[in-house]
Amino acid sequence: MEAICNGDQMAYQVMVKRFLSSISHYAYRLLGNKKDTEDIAQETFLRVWLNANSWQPEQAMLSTWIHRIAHNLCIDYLRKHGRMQTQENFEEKLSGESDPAGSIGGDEKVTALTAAIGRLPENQRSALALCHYQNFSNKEAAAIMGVSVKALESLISRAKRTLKNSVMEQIELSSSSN
Amino acid sequence: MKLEQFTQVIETYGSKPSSWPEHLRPACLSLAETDTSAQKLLQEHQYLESVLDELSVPSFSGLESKILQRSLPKQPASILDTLINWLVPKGAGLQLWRPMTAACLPLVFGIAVGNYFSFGVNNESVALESWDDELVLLSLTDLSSVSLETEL
Repeated sequence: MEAICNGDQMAYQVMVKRFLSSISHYAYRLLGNKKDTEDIAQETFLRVWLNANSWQPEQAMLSTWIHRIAHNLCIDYLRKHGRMQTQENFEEKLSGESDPAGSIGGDEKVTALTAAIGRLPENQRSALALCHYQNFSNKEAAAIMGVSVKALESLISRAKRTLKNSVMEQIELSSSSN
Repeated sequence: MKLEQFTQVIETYGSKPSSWPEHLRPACLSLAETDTSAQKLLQEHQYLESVLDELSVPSFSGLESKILQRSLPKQPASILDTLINWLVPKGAGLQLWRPMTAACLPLVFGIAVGNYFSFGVNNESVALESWDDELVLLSLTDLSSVSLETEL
């Protein structure tokens, strides 16, 4: 990081290769849109380059700091485009339009869960993405989101309860229809 | 441990016992073995997590090269660096006036402050020009009341 502060572009490349996958996955889980995820990832690394001096290792780990930049950019995006746009992104994903590779699949439970994730409030979706998919500890996830650990635990608890209920409903529906 | 607390642990830390807080783990495991509601809840969360793991993310194949090929702007220098660079420019011997100006600044500042502020030194207090004037003034002062008070 010191090398990046001194304008070393090779060090910057190493940093991009190390964190790109994690940042793009996190942004995608929050936005549900490939194009915007790419924009956010590019902007995140540009900001890391420009503000490398402001990272304080005694206050936050590098991964936490970079994810916090990405998180703030995603939240700004969601505020600009509103909740409806995000839900549309998740619905598009379900219809397979934005996912020609078909990685989502046609499984009903996966479909129900994707739709339920799209309906979650942004902060619950973010808490879920950080703790479940990115494997951050509750403390690190709270630091990324800028909330207390208790608030984060409450968010993740509510998110999982909602998702569990929607998956269970889906199971009941499919078993009753059969 | 009650089912409510168990539910909170599962919802907050997930269904894997290894991720539960150490001080709560034995009680959680014991409840999960004995209570059927706890077992059902644990199974539901294990199922939820398995479905969550099925949700994949598309590949961002061209993104890395896009980011790395992008020309990077010049990093902004800190205020201190900017000041030091201005005072001591690299390889510019003719710009000696800059450090000299900086060195003279405290002197100029001191003169300016001294000119504008008196700091309690008042010219009016030395208005009388000689001892003769002071003696004349003393002779004109009525001291009879003062002496009476001191006698009393």
